[in-house]
Amino acid sequence: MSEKLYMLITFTGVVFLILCLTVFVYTMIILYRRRQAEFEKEELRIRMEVQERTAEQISQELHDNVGHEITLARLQLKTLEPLLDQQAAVIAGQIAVSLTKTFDSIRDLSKSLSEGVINTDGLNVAIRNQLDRLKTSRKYEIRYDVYGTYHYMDEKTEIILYRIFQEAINNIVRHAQARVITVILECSPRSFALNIADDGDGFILTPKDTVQHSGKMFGGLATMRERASLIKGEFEIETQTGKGTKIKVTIPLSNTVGYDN
Amino acid sequence: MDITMLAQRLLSTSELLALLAIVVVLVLSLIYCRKRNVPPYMRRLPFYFFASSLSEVVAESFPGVAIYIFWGFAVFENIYFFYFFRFLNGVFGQLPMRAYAVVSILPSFIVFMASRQPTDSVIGAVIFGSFTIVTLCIMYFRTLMVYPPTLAPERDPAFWMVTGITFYFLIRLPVFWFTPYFYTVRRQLLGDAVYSIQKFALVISYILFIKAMTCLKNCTC
Repeated sequence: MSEKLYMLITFTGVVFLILCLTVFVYTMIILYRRRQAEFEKEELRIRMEVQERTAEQISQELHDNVGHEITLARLQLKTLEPLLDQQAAVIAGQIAVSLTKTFDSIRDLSKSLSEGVINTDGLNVAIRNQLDRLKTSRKYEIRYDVYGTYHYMDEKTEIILYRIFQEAINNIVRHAQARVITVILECSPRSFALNIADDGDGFILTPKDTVQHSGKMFGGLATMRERASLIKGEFEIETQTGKGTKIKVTIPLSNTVGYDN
Repeated sequence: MDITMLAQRLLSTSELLALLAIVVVLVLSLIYCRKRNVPPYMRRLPFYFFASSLSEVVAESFPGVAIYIFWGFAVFENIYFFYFFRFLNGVFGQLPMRAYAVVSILPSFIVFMASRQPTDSVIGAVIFGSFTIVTLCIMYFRTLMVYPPTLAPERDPAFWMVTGITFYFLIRLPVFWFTPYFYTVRRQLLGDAVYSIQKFALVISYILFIKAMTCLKNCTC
């Protein structure tokens, strides 16, 4: 065997081994990442399902027990009214008004927690109802529009979109100091987009989807993004301090039921 | 240059590199394996690296008497395998693996006891041990895919350690299987070439161990 051949065998052998090792390590890392992403998605789906179930139970409890107790208290007040003197009757009337307001708030909360409104009326109506309730506060100018023909989507997709919408509205009400809230549903045969915009304070968006607002950090955006990823949606956000916030969730429409609203 | 001299030089270069790499791994393991958050199976690594570097030094210092220490080498091989079984058992953290390791070391021990020639005992021990260790490593990679841990493999010291172990033993298995054949058909230089490839593989696996040690630096495992 010649000197060159000996060198060639050793060199080729070592290079081949290094190459095989590199390919192996990269393959393992890529496969792991793919598997991990699947796992995370599954975990997220389970977490969302548990959240939905818990919300449904709380909603049921509020509606059945707390609501029932308030109704009973109102009835008892009504029975009490003729027995009271004028001053006490006025106070009893005020208590009754207060109980009615509490009852309405609980009913609204119960509705917003429940999936029922989605199951019966669909996302379009659920969003409109929620915005109507917000309009009654007279704090906001609400603009709501649907571009194109709205198609019902499957129940899970609609619930997830509704939860994203609720989270966004909740953020606006709690932090944005906005005056105008604009919600637009863009419907096309191939995709559906939910747009929520406000003219509030805006905020500084950090790379990890946490939000710096008035010196505090908030993490609701990550939840919205996670929820959107569950339905293969694209989550976009545009914001600037003092110039409001725009959120857009776009999903492909392969899973629509296919009848119009 | 004479081909025999070239073979000797390549072999000694790879052996020198292996020695250098094991000393680096030993130093790093002494620094990082003592950290509080390091898993228990990693804490024992400095002992193993010390024994390995000692054996490398002995092999380097007394190449002429290597043939006379075959029995000792065979004993060391069994301890060596047992250590890796324990390490892999630590990675898996399951009792059946320990039982599996004990059962799998038995054939290697039987071959070791039954062989008349010291070389046969070493080759037998290496082939059985390597085969078992590679099987265990494949099980580790399978587990990694089926139940992916939260720690990404490129940050997991166990991943680099097991990759290093798999790589080396995968190379070792055919080398020890076929080297006697090359020597019997008087292809000693080809045998030497294959043997030096195996030594370079050892260097690469030590580099992977170094990577594992550097992962321990920021390990939250």
